[in-house]
Amino acid sequence: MLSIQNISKSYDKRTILDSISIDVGRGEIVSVLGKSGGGKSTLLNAIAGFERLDDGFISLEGQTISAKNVFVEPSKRGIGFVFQNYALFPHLNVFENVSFALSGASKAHKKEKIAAVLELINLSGYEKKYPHVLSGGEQQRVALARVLVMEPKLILFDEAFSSVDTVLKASIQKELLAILRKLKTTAIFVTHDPKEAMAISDKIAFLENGRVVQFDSPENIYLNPVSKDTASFFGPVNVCSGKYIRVEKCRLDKSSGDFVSTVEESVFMGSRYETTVNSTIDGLDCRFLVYTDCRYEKDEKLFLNISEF
Amino acid sequence: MPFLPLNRWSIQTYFFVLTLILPAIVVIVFAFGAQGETLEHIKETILADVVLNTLYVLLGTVSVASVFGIGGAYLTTFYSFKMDKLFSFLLAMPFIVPAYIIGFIYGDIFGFYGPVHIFIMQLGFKNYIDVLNGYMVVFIMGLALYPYVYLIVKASFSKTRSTILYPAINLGATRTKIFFRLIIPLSRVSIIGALTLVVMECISEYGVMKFYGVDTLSTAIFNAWFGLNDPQSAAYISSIAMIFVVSVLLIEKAARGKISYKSEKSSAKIPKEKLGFIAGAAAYLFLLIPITFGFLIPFLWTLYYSVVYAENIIDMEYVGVMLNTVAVAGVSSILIVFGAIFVSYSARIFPYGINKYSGKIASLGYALPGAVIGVGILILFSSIDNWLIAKFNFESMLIGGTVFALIFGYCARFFAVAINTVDGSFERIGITVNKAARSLGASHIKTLLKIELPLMKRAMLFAFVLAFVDIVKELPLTLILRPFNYETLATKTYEMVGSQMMYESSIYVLSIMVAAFIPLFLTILKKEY
Amino acid sequence: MLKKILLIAFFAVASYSASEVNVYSHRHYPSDEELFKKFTAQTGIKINLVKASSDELIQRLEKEGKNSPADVLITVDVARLYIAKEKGLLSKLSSSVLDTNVPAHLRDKEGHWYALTKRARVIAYNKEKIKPTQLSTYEALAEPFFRKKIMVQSSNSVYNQSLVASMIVHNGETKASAWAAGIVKNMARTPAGQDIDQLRAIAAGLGEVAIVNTYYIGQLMSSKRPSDRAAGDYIGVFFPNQNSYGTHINISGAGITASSKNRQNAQKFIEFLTSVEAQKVFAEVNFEYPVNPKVQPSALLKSWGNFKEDMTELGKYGANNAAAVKIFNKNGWN
Repeated sequence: MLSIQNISKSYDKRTILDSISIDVGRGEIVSVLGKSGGGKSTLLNAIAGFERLDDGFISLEGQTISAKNVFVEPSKRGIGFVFQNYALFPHLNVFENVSFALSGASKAHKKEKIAAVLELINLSGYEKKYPHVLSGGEQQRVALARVLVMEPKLILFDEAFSSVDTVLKASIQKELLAILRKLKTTAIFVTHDPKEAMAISDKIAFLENGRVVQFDSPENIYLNPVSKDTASFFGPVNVCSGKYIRVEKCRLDKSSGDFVSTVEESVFMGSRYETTVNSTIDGLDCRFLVYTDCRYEKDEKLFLNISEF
Repeated sequence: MPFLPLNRWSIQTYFFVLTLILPAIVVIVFAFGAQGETLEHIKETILADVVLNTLYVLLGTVSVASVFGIGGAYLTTFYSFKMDKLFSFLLAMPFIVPAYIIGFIYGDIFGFYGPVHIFIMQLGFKNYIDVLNGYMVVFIMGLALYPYVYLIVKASFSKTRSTILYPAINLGATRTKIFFRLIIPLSRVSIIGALTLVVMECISEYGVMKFYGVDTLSTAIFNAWFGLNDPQSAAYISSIAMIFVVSVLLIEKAARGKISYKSEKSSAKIPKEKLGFIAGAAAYLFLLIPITFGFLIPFLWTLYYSVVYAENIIDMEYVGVMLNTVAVAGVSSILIVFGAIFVSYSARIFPYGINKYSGKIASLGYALPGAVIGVGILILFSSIDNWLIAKFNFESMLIGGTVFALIFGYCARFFAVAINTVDGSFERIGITVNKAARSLGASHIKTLLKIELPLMKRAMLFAFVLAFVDIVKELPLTLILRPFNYETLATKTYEMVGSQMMYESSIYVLSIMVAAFIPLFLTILKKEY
Repeated sequence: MLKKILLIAFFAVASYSASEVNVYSHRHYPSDEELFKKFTAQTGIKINLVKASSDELIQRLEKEGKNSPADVLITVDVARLYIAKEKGLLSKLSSSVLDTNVPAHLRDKEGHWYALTKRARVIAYNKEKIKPTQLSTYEALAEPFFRKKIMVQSSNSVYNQSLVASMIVHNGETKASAWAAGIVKNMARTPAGQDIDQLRAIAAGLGEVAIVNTYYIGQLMSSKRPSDRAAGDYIGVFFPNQNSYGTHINISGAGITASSKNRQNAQKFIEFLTSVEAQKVFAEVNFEYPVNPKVQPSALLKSWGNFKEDMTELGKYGANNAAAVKIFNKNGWN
C-alpha cells in the first residue's frame, strides 16, 4: 500500500533521514519509534508531502508521490494527518472543522456524513461546539473525525498520545484502535513511547539517527532486538556474549539453575527488589539485573535461570 | 535546497520584493552615473558640511532620546509612585506629534517676539536667545523620537526585571549596580534596535531641518532636486544617505553580537519599589520634561488655535485635504498589509534560500530617508515615461506624478511596519493548522483565506493602522511624489507654515494628531502596559 | 491610466469652453482669491486656480507638454519667469492695455510676461542701533563694520538669488562672489527662517540690519498680532544704492502658457490684474508696490519715501540665476 524506498533527507549538512525503506500493507498499523529528534517527524512530513526528498522515492498504492523529480502536493495525496496539538481550526466549530475536507457536497449530504462520523467517534451532537471548550481527548477525536471524512488511504499520527493524561492513555488508545480496526484503515503512528508502540502496532520501525535499525513485529523487536540500543529502548535488558536477555526472563534460585552467580547489590524499588548479580557464561563475565521479591546479601552465591520463550 | 527556490509562490515573491526595493536600486545606479559640473560643485562646497551637520544632529538626538527614553522606561518599570500609570501612558504621547510640528510650534512659541519673548520683555529683560539653531533641532528631535526608545526598551526592561531583580537584590547589589551591570546589558539588543530606529528617522527628517536652517543630507537632497533641478546630484547625495544608513545597520548587527538569551517566561508578580519623597519629586520633575515639552505644549497650542480658527479653516479645502490623505493612506495601507501577508506566508511556506529573507529585504525601504525613495521613484517613472513617449509618440508624461507614484512610495517605505506584525501573528497561529488544512485537500490560497486570515483579523487591523498613521505623518516623500495640487494633511501644514499661516494650520495639525493617536490607543487596549 | 486620460480630456474640453481660465500660481494670498471672484463676477469667466511653488509649476508644465491645461503662469520672482520663457513654456502676448498698465522695464521685451506687482529688497535696520547715515549700498554691507550685524534668509530664497544675480550684472562674478563671502562673515547667525523672522530678530537685538522684501515690513508693521507691531516699531527702512544704480527690485509676474487653449480669457485675466482695481488691492492689502502708474502705493509704503529703482533689464537676473546659486554654495551661504 505504502512503499518507502531508500529515502534520504538532509538539512544544513545534517542527515535526518538516511536511506530509509519501509513497506506498509493495507490495513496495517505501523509505529515509527525512536528517541526525540531521531527523524520521526521528518519521516511523517515527507510521507505527507510537507518535506521534499533528497533521494529515494515514496509510492502510495503503486503511484509515486515523492521522488527526486516527482512531487504530488500534500493537498492532493489523500493522506490524513493528525497533529500532536490536533491543530483544530479555532475559529470554526466542530461541524465546520470536520467538514473542511468536503467541498462541493450538498448541505444535506454534509450533515449526514458529519453526523455519521461523529457517532463513530462518540461525539454525536457536538456539531456546534468550538474547539476551546473541548477536552484534550475530545479534540483528538475531532481531529481524527476531520481526517476520516476525507476517506483517506492512509492516516498519519504524529505523537498522538503524548499530550494525553497517562491515566486516560490506555482507554483512549483502545478506543482509537477500535475505530481504526473497524474501518480497516492503514495508519502510521510516530511515537517515542515504546509501550504505546507495542500496544497498538502490527509492526514497529525503530529509528535511530535517521536509520531504520529494525522493522519487525512488536514481539520480535522486544524479544530479538538487533542491537543493544534497540533492546534497551524497550525496557531493561541484560547483555551477554552478544545475546540480549530480557530482565523479566531471568530468575534467581538458591538451589538450582543454569548458571552460577554472585550478588552485587539488591535495591528496594517498592513493588520489587532490583538485584544485580555477576555470572560467568561461555567464559565471559556478565552482569545481570534480576527482579526479585526479597533482598539478597552482597557476595551471596545463587543460581541464575534464563527461560527461553 | 537551492539558494533561489523557484516555484509559483517564490517567483511572485521575488518579483514583489524586487519592485519594493527598486527605488533604492535606481538611486544607486543613477548615482554611479552622476558626473557633471553641478555634482563637482556640490562635492566641493556643501557636501562635507552637510555630512557633518547630519552627524552632529544624529549624535545629539540619540543622546537626548536615550536619556528620556531609557530614563522613562527605567522609572516606570522598576518603581511605583502616585499616578505612575498615567505617567507611563503620557510618556508615549509625543509619538502622535510629528517632529516638524513640534518644530514649528516651538519656533512660534520661543521665536523672537513670540509669547515667551514678550513675557521675558515684560519682566524687564532685554536680552533673549535665538532658537533657530542646531541645539534646538537636537532638543526637538530628541523629544519627538524618544517615545520609540521608551516603548521598545520598556518592554525589554519588564522582562528583565522579573528574572533578575530578586536574585540581584539577594546578592546585595545596589540600584546603580543593578542598573548599569544588569539591566542595561541585558536590554542591549532592544536599546540598540530602538536607537537605530531613532537614527533612521533623524536622517530622514526634512521639515524640522528646513525650518531651523540646519542643512542635513535630507535638505540637501531636496535642494538638489527642486532648487538645482539636478536629479543626478540628488541621487548622489541620496546614496551617501544610504551609506549612512547601511553603516548604522551594520553597527547595530555587530553590537548585537551573538546574543540569543532565551527569554524566561516569568509570571511572578514582583511588587515595585516605592520611591521616597525626594527621589519621587526628582522622578516627577524628570519625567515631566519630555511629557510637557514633547506632548502637552504642542497639543495645547494646537487645540487652542484649532478652536480659535475653527470657522476660518474648516472649509471645502480642508475636506478635500482630509479626503486626499485618507484615500491615499487607506489604499496604501491596504496594499501594504496584503503585501506583507503574501510575503510572510511565502517565507513561511518556502523557508529556503533567499526566500526566507524576503520579508527582511522588502523592509529595506524603511531604513531609507523618504526623500531618497521619492527621488528614486521619480527617476524611475520619468525614465519609463520618456521611453513610452519615445516609443509610442505620446506627447506628455503618463505615470510620473500620479497618485500611483505616491502610493508606490508609501508601500516601499512603510512595508516594514506591517511585516513585523504579520510575522508575529503567523508565529502565534502556528504552522500546524496550515499543514492540517493542506493535508485535508486545501490549496495554499484556500488555506490562507479560510484559516489563517480569519485568525489574523486583529493583527491585520493593527498593521493597517500602524502603516496608516506613519503615512499620515510622512512629509518629505509626500512633498516629492504627490501629484500636482494634491495636498495631504502633512504637506498642507508645511505649506501653511511656510506662508506665515501657522495658526490657521492648527486644525490640520490636530487632525494629524488624532489620526496618530488611534494605534497608540489600540496598543493600550491590547494591554501592553 | 484611463482616469488620467479622461481628466486631461475633460480639462481639454473644459478649457475650450468660453468661460474658464486655468491658472498655475505661486502666489498664496487670500486677497488674491477675493480678487479672482471679482473678476468672475465682472466677466463671467471662471478661474481654476492651482497653487504650488514656481519650481514645481515649471517642472509640471514641462512634463505636461502640449497637453498642459494651464493658461496662465504666475510667479513671485522674475528669475522663474525667465526660466519658463527659456524653456519655451510661455507665449507672446500683445496687448495695448498691458502696454499702458505696465511700464516697459517691468515687462518682457517679447511680451512673454508682464509684472503684476513690484517689491524692493531693502535694508531694514534697528532704529536704536543704526542710523541711516551709516547705510549706503548693498556692497557696503560686506565691509567689516557690519561684522555679526546682518540677518538674511538662506540661499534657497529666490529673492536672494536675484539680488546676487544683480550683483553679478553690476559688478561681475568675482566681485559678487567676494561680496557674498563678506556677507557670510557678517551674518549674525546661520541663515534660518524667512524674511519676517529676520525682522523680528533685529527688533529683538540679534543683528542690527536685515535684507528683506518691502512687503514683509509692511506685513509686520500692520500685523494683527500686537507683538509683531511692537517689533515693527523698532524697524527703519533704507533704500540702498540711491547714489549709484538704485535699489534692487523684483516682480511678481504672469504670462500666458505656450499650451494655452484659452488665450482670450487669459489675456482678459492678466489685463484685469494690472487694472486699477486689482492694483489697489495689491497695494493696500499686500503692501506690494503696484506697477500701474495710475495707482499709488499704500500710505505706509509712501511714508518710507520715494526711491530710485534699479532699471536693469529684469531678464538678466534670470540669466544669472544659476551662477548666483553657485556663488552661494562656494561661499558657504547656507
